Amino acid sequence: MAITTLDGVIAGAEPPQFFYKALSGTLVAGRPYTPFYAAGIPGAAVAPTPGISGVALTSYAGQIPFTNPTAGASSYLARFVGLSSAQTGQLILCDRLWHNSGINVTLTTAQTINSVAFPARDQNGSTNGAGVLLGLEVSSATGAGTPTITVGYTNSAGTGSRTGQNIIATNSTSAAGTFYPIGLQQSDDGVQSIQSVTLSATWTSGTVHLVAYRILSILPCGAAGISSAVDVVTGGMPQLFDNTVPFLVFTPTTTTSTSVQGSITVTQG
Amino acid sequence: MAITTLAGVELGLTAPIIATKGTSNQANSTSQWLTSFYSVGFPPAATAPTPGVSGTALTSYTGQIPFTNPASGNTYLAGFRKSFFSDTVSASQRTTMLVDRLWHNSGLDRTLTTAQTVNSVAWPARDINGSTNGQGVYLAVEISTAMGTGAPTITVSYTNSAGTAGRTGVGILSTRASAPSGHWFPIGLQAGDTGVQSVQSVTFSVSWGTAGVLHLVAYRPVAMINTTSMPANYSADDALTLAVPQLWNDTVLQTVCVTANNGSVDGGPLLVQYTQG
Repeated sequence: MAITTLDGVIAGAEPPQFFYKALSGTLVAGRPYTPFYAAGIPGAAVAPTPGISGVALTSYAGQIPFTNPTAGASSYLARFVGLSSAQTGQLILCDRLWHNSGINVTLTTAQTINSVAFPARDQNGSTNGAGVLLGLEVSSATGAGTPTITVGYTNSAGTGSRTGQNIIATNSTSAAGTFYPIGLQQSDDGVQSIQSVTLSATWTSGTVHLVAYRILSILPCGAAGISSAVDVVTGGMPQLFDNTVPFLVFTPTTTTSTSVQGSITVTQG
Repeated sequence: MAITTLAGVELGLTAPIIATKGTSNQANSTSQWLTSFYSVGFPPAATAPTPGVSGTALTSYTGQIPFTNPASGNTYLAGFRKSFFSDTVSASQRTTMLVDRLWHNSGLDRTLTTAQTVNSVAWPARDINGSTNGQGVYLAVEISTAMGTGAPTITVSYTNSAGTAGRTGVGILSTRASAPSGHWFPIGLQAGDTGVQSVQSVTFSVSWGTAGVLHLVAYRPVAMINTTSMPANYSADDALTLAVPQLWNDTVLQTVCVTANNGSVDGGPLLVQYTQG
């Protein structure tokens, strides 16, 4: 079953799920940051410890709440409203499919990952990985060092030995919450699994995780405190597959401390 | 019964409610939340509540945005719009949020720095699922009379929406000395929590000084819209854009503004419209 009419959108609207997170640590212009571990609403997530091969996620404490629809029904994003209270930027709503732990931040040789299978929540609701991207997330501030991050992965077409690197340069003393997106090899459009990660130099200390995620929607935060929103039409009605784990990533434009506030509304039918 | 079509939305539209409050001289600060609940205008200024420290479950309260239960069926928010009287004043207000006020209390000692027992009475059945569990219900400290010196950290002990007691929430925003009436300090949740079922105690880390009256409030966010900085402009969201959030019977609506810089609060026209059926 699927929602195919505006009447269906109205009939299936769920309550808005509110979020309010104070972004702690020093923000850096252009460097994405997730408030996943930050205090606020919902309460902070605890850094995961599933081991190097990670875990496929169907829920995780600290996510924006999501409830599956009745059997046979589908879920879609009906509204996403958000603001950054003290600076401009970009607020990205994502589905968190997989994450791991146990990456050695001082090792400069390849570390085997061999990720467990991602859940069937790529952009087509399959495990192929189309539209599934990778990020390296900091849950405990790193020490000195600015390594290049290289990930060996299998793309969404099933081709192995693909290589991706961090899009934005890393930094020493990256704050908890820093989220380094990993680029894809030429012509790839998603990641099906991860085989390894290599840091070119030591990061000295800290805790980092690889995260597989799918972008659901993006909002501009064009002026401090002014919210923007997309509805079911302007947002393109992206589908949220069962067991979606919504979380946020904010890309700041300055170092100014800020908070992100808003809500998401899902329609089901 | 429920509204399940655009035709149903149109058929059930109620008369729009225009709320207008005077410009309040509230020297707010960056990124704070403010409510015009206690400001003069229409709806009339609310009187500071006095139900005692355990508080009262709210089914109506003078000063709320008017709300009438449907004869049958459900109520949904179908329109939410905001404008301003003053371009200058409105520059400080950036986003307006509509919240359902479920519970509030009084009798907190602003000077006490040890835990004050609250043991709240049960919330009304108006969490995001229409139950008393508290999912999507949050807490804030609201100022009804300007505070004195002191900027305490606020710590609340609560039971979460899963029924787990002994949870701890801390203010998301820093408090400030001399916070004027209308300031609203939201409380964050402990790791993994998504709502509050009841409050057991509140603790201020330092005295809030020699003046002021404050309250704990339990609320549910209903909608949020941007508010432009030009009086001639009008932010307007309709039923579809708002995704028809449901308002349970006996909802007690008020607005809370998100500010971006120092300034006063403009009570310029606010329109709220429901659809029922």
